[in-house]
Amino acid sequence: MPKIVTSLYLKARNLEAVYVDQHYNLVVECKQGSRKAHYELYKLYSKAMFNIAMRIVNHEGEAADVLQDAFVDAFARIGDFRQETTFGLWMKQIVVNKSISHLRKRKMELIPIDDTDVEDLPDDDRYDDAEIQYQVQQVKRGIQLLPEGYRVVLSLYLLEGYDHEEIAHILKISENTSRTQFMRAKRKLMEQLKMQGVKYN
Amino acid sequence: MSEKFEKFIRSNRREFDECEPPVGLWERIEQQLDKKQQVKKARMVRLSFVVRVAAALLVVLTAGVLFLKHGNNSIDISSVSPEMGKLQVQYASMIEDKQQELKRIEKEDPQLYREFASEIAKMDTNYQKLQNDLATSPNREETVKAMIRNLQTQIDVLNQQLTIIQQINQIKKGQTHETQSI
Repeated sequence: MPKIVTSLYLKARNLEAVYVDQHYNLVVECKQGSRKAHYELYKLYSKAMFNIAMRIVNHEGEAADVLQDAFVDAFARIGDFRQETTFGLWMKQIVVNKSISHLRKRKMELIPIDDTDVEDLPDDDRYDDAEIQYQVQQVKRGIQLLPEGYRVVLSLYLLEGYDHEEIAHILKISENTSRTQFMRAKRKLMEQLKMQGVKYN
Repeated sequence: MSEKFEKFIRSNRREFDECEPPVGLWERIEQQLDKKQQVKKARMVRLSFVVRVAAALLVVLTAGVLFLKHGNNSIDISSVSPEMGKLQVQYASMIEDKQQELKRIEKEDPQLYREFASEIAKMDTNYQKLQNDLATSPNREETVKAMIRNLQTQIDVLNQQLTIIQQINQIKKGQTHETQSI
């Protein structure tokens, strides 16, 4: 590699390292068993993680249980965390998995049995939302009212930022099912929002 | 379907995280962490006890082995001179054989046996002394030579003792012959 390219490469890597986790050292302290570091990480991430759990289990008390379980588990396993990603991403994985298994314990059917493929759905433009004025509170409420399976897939895709491949892996369903569920969830949400009388311009 | 909805969510993403975790949740987590730590500590204490016992055993065993080694012979003759070492082994086995032979008179003539045995024992004590001094001896070769000489003398003495016994036996036989012929 030419010198300039090498230095650029190193620079990029350094930047990446800084970008990768601004709380890198906090995690290192955590590994050494510092209770203060545990608390700092909790303060930094508990709110975001709680909201993730809330969106999946849709119940405040249960989300709190999931969060507690997730943090205790994460701190117990922090030695295994090789810090190749950020603590946030790692923690999020734990919270999502715990939330899903919590739902499973409730024996909720995540995916309804009638499972038509996306291709079979008519290309539908009825829900042209150009005129809709979305509002966070209404959308949130709408998501909470969705059936369990729809809510989980829609949340994972739109709010937690997983793609369908990842969702398929998390929920142990096919990628296609994940896409179908998402399309249906979105349509259902639109209907609900209209019913609730979302303001039009 | 338009992407407007997705865009709306993306640009308002932060507002979707408005729920606050319940107060006191950290205390619950901390309690559980404490409990786990105590279990860990208890396990560590138990482990360290096992380690301590094992270490103590090791020390005792090592000391025992070292003591035995030192007591036996801290230095071998063959390590000073291999030739002398061979001689020593040869002589030692000869001495053992002769002592066995001598033992046969123990019942017939215990007094004589004790006398003979004590002579060899004296020499053997000298040998052990030399053996113990060998490691610290300023002239090991001389010490080894002395040891070998000691063994040779033991053999000589044993040979003499055995000849004496033979002579005594012959005299005894002659006596019985005489008494028989009378």
